[in-house]
Amino acid sequence: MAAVVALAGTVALLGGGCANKQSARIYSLSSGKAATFDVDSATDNHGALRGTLPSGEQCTGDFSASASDETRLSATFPYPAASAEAGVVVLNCGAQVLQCVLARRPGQGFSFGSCKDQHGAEYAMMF
Amino acid sequence: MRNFNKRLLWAIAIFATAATSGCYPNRKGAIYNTKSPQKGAVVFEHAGDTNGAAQATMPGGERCEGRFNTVPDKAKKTYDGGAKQILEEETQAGLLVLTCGQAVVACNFTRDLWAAGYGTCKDSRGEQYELLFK
Repeated sequence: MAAVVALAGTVALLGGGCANKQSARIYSLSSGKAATFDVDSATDNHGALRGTLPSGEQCTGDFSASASDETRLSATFPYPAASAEAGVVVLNCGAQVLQCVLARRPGQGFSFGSCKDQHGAEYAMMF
Repeated sequence: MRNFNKRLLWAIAIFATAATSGCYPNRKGAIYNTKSPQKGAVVFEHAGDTNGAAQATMPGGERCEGRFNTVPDKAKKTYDGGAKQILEEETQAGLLVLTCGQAVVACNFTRDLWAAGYGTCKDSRGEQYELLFK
């Protein structure tokens, strides 16, 4: 019986962890190259990101999300997403700083995002 | 009895395949170069899904592959115990990213319940495009 409870607990922990962790591809709209990012706590109101830019710089950062941040989404994406949630991200990548906005369904992981560095170079993020 | 079970399993497998592959048909679109009279084509696989694969031929003839993903815009909602739940997404905003050899194309789009809509694209060479669903 104890073994069954332990197994169920392990499955629940593993399942919970996986559901809340996401991977994304980040695409440079300048170079056409791509790289991978990981997001922790992707369904929560805040969490962490780490990954590599297509140019090779290592990045770490955080996101903070709020429900139906239509103003932020409208400023970032050309079409409205009134029923979505916006996650704002700041990424430190060596000498580069990226600001991103990620969009997601309420209570779910992220769908896509858009980033810009301090020189205006643009990136698209696809989950 | 063993034969009956085998036939039942096959029937279930065929039904499941048909159900999962046939629920949402592919959706075609056209990609227009905004600076020259050239037109390309794009296909969104299982277009009624919230995300999926896509293939395209750009106006210049390049073959591309990629993915799309969406979030809800206008939606029918319910508040169950204070928590907001979306019953139906009437319109969606989305992003399509295509890899075309050394280049990347990113398209923002909006679409309705029937996956009809339009969008704007730009690529990593600085070209701009219009996306129109058919």
